[in-house]
Amino acid sequence: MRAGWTGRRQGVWLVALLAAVLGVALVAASCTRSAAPPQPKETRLTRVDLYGDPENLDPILKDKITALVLNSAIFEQLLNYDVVEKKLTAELATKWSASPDGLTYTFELRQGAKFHNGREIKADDVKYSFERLLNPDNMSPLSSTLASIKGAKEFTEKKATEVAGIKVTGPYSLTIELAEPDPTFLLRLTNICCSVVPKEEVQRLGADFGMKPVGSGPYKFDSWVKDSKVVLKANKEHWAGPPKTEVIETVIVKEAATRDAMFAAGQIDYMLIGDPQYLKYKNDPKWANNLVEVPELYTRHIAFNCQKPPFDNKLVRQAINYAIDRKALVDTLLQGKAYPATGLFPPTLMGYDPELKGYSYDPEKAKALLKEAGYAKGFEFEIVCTSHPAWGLPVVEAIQPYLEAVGIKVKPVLAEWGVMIDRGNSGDFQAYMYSVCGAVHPYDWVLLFHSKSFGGAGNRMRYSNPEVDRLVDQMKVTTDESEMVRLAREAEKIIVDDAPWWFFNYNKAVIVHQPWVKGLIPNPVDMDYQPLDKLSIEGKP
Amino acid sequence: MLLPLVVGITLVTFVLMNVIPGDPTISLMDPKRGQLDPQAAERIRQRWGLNDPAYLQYLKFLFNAVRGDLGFSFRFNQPVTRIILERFPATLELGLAALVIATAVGVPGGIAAAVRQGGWLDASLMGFCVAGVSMPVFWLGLLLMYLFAVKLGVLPAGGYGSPSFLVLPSLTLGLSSMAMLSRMTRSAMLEVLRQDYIRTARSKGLAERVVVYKHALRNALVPMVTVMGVQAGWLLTGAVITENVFGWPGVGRLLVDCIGQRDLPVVQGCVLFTVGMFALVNLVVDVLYAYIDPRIRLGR
Repeated sequence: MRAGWTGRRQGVWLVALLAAVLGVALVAASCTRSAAPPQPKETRLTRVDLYGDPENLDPILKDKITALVLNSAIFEQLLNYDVVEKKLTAELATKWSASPDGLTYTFELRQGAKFHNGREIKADDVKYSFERLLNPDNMSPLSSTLASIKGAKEFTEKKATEVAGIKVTGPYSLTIELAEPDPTFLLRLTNICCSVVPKEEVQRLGADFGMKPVGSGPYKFDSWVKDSKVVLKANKEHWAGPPKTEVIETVIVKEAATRDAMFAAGQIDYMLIGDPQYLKYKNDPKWANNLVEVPELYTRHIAFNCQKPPFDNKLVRQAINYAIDRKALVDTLLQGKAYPATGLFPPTLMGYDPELKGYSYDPEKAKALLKEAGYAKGFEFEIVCTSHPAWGLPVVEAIQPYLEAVGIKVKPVLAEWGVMIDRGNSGDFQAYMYSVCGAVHPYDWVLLFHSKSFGGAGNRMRYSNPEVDRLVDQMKVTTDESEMVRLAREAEKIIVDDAPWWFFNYNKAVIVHQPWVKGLIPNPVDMDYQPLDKLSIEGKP
Repeated sequence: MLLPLVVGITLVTFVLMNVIPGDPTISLMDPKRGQLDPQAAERIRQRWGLNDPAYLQYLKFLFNAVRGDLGFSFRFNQPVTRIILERFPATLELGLAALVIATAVGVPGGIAAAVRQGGWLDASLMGFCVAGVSMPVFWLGLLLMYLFAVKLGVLPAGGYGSPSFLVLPSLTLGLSSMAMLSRMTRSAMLEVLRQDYIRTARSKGLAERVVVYKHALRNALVPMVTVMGVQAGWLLTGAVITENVFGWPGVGRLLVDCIGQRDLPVVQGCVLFTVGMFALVNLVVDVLYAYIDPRIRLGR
């Protein structure tokens, strides 16, 4: 006799009951979240966050790109920096000027700009927001952004109840006095941590301000499913008029293969692509014309410890720069997803010198330099590196044969990023491999080579050249842009010649987008950092 | 019994998290964007007691945990309990769905295979089970995604939202549990079907389905429930790989992220949560034992 599947027997019932209980529990669990009905009329753009949850959207707490992109749409600063045109633009301030000595800055605020709660923004809010960033009780990891303001030091040490250098001179005007000249001060104000926030909302929400942020930007915060999705909605009362897209949805997907599938299925409108994905999209005629590429403001390099032999000798450092074919490495190892370095400055940095050609691939010259330096028989050294595919172990392994050919043996030492930086800061290394620095002002770049920046301030190479120091000091008090560029180029030329780094490449950041997405910009600061209010959807089927 | 377990597990976690190199304040900055201002880092270390000797940090954690306070994550600037609870519904949903799939398919499949031992159904079912257990979740997930989302376009590839988002991850996650459960059911049933009382039941002329479902299944349930309990424990505490592949916002992914970011309070919280879930599942399994087999008594 065959066994039937529907017998009304106890065992079956037990299993069925168990399944039913689980089923009911499942339905109950699904009901814990509200299923928002789709609203087809809204224009909706879906972007993807590659790195994980933004964690917190309080602008003074986070400097991670995941939070920055969202906060740049929710909040506004006094000024904005146009990364493509390389100039400052008005945001909450409409006029600004610096005193001739570069110590006092005057700002006129935009009248009629409002927070998302409807209240107008006044100069007091700016003062409040800047003091909030500097207040040590708020534990901002970014408080040093405004450290150059006069009185900021006393305020953070709790010796003063307010920052003396920030003076509200009228409802829509204020002046900021600096303790010492800082050519990057106006650029610092464009940082997200210098956003203007409404005091009443910060006080009302407390620690929850970072969970339900209220700003004044073109988008209002709408909802956030942790680790999954953040939804922003257009601020229709924004002073610049409503943004082009009504809803911006950010989905958090860390797995590249999943992003590829979601993009192919049309679930994502645009996304940053990584090194392994690049050729797949580049070689696919369907997507080849939907790529946006840019050299990012990062120079991948090997830093040499200029105080320890053999790298205390400039000739040895130059020899290594001649010994390796950086273009071949970019073409093969990085599959063309980088630009070979011609010097310190990437082409997208203000002050980039197109005349500077950098080091060619010339192993014979490298050998001659080594001989001249007294290392005709070569030597052995260690490179501390992370496992990063474009500036870590794979690169070190790829340069080994090049250096071997001129008599130098390389020993890679794999370390975590934090450990590598610790060793760099303390000088406990011969060489390490890294990528810096992301700044849009050349002053921040050359400052890394000033002898006063030894260690944690960025000059881990312990490189020192009085001429570079002099040029950097001069840049610090320069307010004229063309003079700034001239000084920067001069400093770069010396640094490249002294070769405290092996200059490798500038990262090529790439975005792939659906044909209907318009307004993406080649952002050299971080390609993922798109101006969300300028993006639009046109002709989506 | 639970208390020494909790102390032991959290202590091991604490020691491991302190032994691996890396500074928790590093997680506050994007490695790409430079490093933390040393003064700010020092302020944060002081505020959250990171400069205290390690044993004191652990005792403080334990003292607060006993009072129901799992601590505070300065990375999220939120209490740990809240961070975990926000992600728990997603984990629960995916875990239960996978468990339903595993039970609803695995148990009947195992019974059918046992009853027709050696037949083509048994062979193909067990072949499927071997494939199910040995297939990497990662690969299976991407395969399903490619088929249903990219080629057929009927289901979303990844993300979290309406019930349609649940289908692919729960299938992926449920398959290996299903295979495991099905094999277990089959062997438990085979074991029971060989026993004397089954022969007696058959010889007194009972219908085969009565023999199988009334007499055999009930006795085979104990090992089946044990397996289900273990599977439930795993499924309800977060399936890291499945969550990662489908961008599912569960507790498993949180734990892995937080280990990478040296976010000790959240790691400890997740570990305690896992211990609690396993204890709860074990309790349910014990209660079920008593119900299935009257010879098992609860209590002493």
